[in-house]
Amino acid sequence: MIIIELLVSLLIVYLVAFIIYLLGSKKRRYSDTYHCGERLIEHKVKYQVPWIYYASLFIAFDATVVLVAITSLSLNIITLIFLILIMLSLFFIPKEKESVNDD
Amino acid sequence: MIKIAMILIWVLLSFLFSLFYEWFDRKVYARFQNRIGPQMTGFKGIMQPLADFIKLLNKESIFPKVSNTFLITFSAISSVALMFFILLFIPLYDFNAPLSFSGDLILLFGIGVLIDLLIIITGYSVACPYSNEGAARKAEMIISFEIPFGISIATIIAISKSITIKESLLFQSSGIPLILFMPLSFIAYIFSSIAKIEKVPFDSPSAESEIVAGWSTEISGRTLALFRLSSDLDMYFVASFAAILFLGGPTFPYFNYPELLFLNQTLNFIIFFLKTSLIVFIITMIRSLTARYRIDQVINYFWKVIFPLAMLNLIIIIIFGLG
Repeated sequence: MIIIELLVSLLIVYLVAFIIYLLGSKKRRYSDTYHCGERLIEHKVKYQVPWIYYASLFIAFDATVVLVAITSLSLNIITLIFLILIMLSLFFIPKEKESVNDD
Repeated sequence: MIKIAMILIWVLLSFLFSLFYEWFDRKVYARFQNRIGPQMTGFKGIMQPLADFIKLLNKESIFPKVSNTFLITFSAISSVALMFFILLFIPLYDFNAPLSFSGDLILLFGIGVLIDLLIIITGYSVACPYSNEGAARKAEMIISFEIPFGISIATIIAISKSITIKESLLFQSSGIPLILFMPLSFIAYIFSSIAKIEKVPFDSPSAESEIVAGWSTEISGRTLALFRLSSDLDMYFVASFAAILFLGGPTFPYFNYPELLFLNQTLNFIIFFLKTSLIVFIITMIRSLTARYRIDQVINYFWKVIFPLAMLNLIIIIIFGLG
């Protein structure tokens, strides 16, 4: 029953958002990308190696959050040990050099 | 039928609340900078966000030649629709909202992440370096702030022993607000919320002095109007969610008179409104008093300061829970 309720609600809010969109101006035009007078050059987004470490931390902790949220209903010592163990990973964050320029 | 009417009323209220809080945010921000802020449209400029929205909605949409307009439009409509959807779980005047089920706290957290992912999709749908850079920064922000945000919610679940908003509200109505048990989680939540709604000091994805308007540089017309509305709804969501989870929502400890049905609900609604306004005020105050962090500083700040704070509070709660 709740699934149907959720789906109907989702349908209604999508309908409302689409109606708001349709109320707007339908005029559309295509142009060059914004360059503010300067010549746009190929731009590659730079990544630092430590950020990959942060991304892997994110994946580990994202799973942890859901796990803890579910097991919180019946707390036990294993949850606590798991949290402390996973927090140890924070000590391995690589030291960063001064000032990282990403632009 | 009553349920559908209730959903539509909630959507309308969410829309009005989001515009009100945009005005409130702009007004308070202006006062912090010794300016007056919006004042021409309506009483003290209260209609300004609505006027801006209608004006933007009626403007021509200009897209770059190399862009995926379908994805941009889909993301804009979806972000507004999903924001309206998660606001249907927010109770305004008592413990009940149009939608509620066991596990709604986790669903809200998940949909919140989904809306952020739509922004990344938008940024990468345009062949513009500013948009791409904004989207990349947004992705880097998400891996930083979502975890403390989630841990704050997990702490609430741990303390109230429930994964339902209604249950956590009932838990608070019979005692004291959860903020007193978990001040560190509250701090983590507020800072994560500021990053989520891209306000200073965590507005790197749309830093106008660096990358024009970030991921939304090439968005215009009614699509931009929808994204702006989504952003306003997001601010209202994080503030009302904090008011419910940490401050007791529409209830006040030891202040509940069910026999005075209408009066009680009106008072509860006013209490909820005041609490949400307080959270928006705190967010605006922080953004008025701070300068923008670089993206690497944001990542470091969240992983090395905010995350341990949130985790510490969770561990304390678990230890006391075990005892």
